[in-house]
Amino acid sequence: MTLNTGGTEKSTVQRILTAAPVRVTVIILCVLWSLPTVGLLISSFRPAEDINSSGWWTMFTGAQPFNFTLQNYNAVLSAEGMGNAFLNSFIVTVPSVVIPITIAAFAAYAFAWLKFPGRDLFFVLVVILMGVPLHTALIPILRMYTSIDLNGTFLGIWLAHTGFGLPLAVYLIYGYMITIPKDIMESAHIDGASPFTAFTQLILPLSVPVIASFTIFQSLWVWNDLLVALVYLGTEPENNVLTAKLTELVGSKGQSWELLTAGAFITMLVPLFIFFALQRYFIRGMMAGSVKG
Amino acid sequence: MNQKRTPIFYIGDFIALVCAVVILLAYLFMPWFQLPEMNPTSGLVATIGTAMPTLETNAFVLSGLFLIPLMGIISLAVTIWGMLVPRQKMTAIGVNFVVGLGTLIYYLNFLYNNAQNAEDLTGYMGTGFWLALFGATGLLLQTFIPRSEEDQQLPIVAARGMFASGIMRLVVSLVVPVVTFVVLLWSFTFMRDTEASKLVIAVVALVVGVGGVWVLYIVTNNLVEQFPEHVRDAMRPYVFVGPALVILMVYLLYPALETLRLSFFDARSVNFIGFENYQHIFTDPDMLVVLRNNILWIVLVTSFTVGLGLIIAVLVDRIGRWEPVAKSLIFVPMAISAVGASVIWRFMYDAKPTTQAQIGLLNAFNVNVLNMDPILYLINKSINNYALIIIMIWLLTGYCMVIISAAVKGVPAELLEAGRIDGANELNVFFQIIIPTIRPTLITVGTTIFIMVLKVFDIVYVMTNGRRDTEVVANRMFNEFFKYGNYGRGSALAIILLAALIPVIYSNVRDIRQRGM
Repeated sequence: MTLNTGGTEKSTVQRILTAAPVRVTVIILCVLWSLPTVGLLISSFRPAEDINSSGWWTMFTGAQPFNFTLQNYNAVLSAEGMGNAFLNSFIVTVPSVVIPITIAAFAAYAFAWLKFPGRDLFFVLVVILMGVPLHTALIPILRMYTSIDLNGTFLGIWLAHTGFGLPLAVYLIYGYMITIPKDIMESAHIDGASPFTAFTQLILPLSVPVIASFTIFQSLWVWNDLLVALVYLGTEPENNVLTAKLTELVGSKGQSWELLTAGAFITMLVPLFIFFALQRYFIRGMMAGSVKG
Repeated sequence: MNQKRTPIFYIGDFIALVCAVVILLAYLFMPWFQLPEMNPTSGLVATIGTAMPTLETNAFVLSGLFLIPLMGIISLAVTIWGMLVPRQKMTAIGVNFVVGLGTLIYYLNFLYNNAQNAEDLTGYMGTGFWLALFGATGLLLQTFIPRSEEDQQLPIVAARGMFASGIMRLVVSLVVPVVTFVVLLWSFTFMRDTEASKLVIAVVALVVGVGGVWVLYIVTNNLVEQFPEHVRDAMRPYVFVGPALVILMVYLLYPALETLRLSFFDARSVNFIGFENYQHIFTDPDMLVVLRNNILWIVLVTSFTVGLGLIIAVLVDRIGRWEPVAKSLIFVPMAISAVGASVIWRFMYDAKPTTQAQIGLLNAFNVNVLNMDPILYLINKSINNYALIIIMIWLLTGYCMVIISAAVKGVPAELLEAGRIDGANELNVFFQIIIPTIRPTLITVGTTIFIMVLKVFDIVYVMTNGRRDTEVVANRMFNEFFKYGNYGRGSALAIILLAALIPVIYSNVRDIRQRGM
């Protein structure tokens, strides 16, 4: 007992001694990590001539007053078409999340609760395909799309995102559904519920947490995606999403920092909002996606 | 029991009545009577008829002539019946739903075939069309309005109940799938070819994408329900997994095999050239730089993110109540797209000539504090790769930190205390207790990062597009496809990415097998 108290005392002293350097280190790290984003955010509210003649930090040193303006956002949203791209990003993201979830939920239910020949084999296929990078799918699907006129359409990219997101969705939702106690299913069966009813009335409502995780993961993935958008929407600039628009802006106006900073911040708005509003679910969603290839 | 039959009149019924009347009303505005074979009759219809656009006469248009008033009358009758016989209310609601759906489909198709320009939607035909659309939508929506506390059921349940028996059931189970299929096909072509505004397409997509997918499952499930029990039980699972399997085959399995095949063909995918593309990738000096860069990315990003994540996780564990704030600040970049992060860091790396003030933070530091010349981070070949790699480290460290932090907190306190009592200092505790305990987590996190880094594309594409020796595999693949038009080499690069992931795939499958699947 005495030995134990001695140990605690020692570690208390140690803790006080080590606390200060640890705190300072953490603060320094946090500042370092935040500086790039903060700099971008502040710059996006400065007039073009200020951005190009002085660093954003000068407003803290007092060398240059902060001439707050929303002009950059105005310019980038209307003249540069970011407003249209923002709408496109929404149009692309929502069905690209909802459709795979619906299809995956049905499939996961069958894998988890129904017996059928080929079940194990098909599920292994799902797991294998989860690790297959979408890069191997790009060209064959593009050719298929060209032959049925789906290139540059929203429908084409929705279906593509559905396909690429489906294995992970099935895998995650299956993993959750399998943990639902057998008794619940059996009592539903005794009550005369058909598998379909059991699915819609019982299993689906119980699976809301995993569906929420996947929703966050997939919407972030689709919202932040560049490659799929470039390949399937690249031919139709009118339909292009925020990431593709910002990339184009970097190419054409690489030194117009007033446009780039405001544009970049616009692309981050939605993910940052989700992050700060639903932090716990956000992190859970990110974790859930870690098995995707 | 002598039950008094009092009409029960709910707001939903009222809506259904109004909508049925509106559908009948709309009929008067439609240009049926302008059809060549029919002379305008008297009254209202004749007056309107003069301003109507001419229509092609076909079976579809003609069928509407009888179908639409029939729909309206059925809806009217059934609603009144449902009010008089409360017991049958759900049936009435179900019938109204089906009528609304049918009318909606008919008019949308009518519009699709006949409205060539905007005027068609503002004239008389337009009036009729919008009225009908309003009525049909109303009939659909009224089903969702609960009529009483007890029967707050979805319309589809009601419709199912109605068709649960008799010959209706058989007819419905055959007709509905066909109708569903036609509607899905129609919406497919509509979404592909339409010039309608984006929001309209998006709404249609959501309705079809969510509603259509659901209806598809319900319909096929209903179809399966018609079969004898043993057939039914054998077929049902495939109703559930079928669509997912089809999508997986079309969007992942077939393309992967096709890409593998293309990788053995030349640039235009015409001539079989064996392993020449792979040979090129592993011998061409340019390509070797690409591979070297990718390996550099994998090694540096994985080790730094996991290492930094571990250190930060252990540090923030000791700062008390500010821990969540610190973690959030470091995790935030994870929410930012690689494209956004690239712009952020382009701004950090910006270099101005020495005569001007530096606006990039790093070069301002170099010039003002270190008295150096500004560094061209993206141009200088000896550092540009590292400049890009730092972006990804910045993005992913927070992710590693959060996962590792959870593992660190899971290390049993007795274990740590025991170590400290044995005289171990904090470093020993870290290396000899914490790290071995959380080893599995470190491996998992490392694998996840490896998967992400292997496929890195956006950062390189936005920052340099591979210029000045910064190309990576995914970016080169994109350029082979869309810049050089070499599908053989592009496909071979994609297959190399796939090959690098085979160990991950193997371990995923093994995990599943071990869990008894």
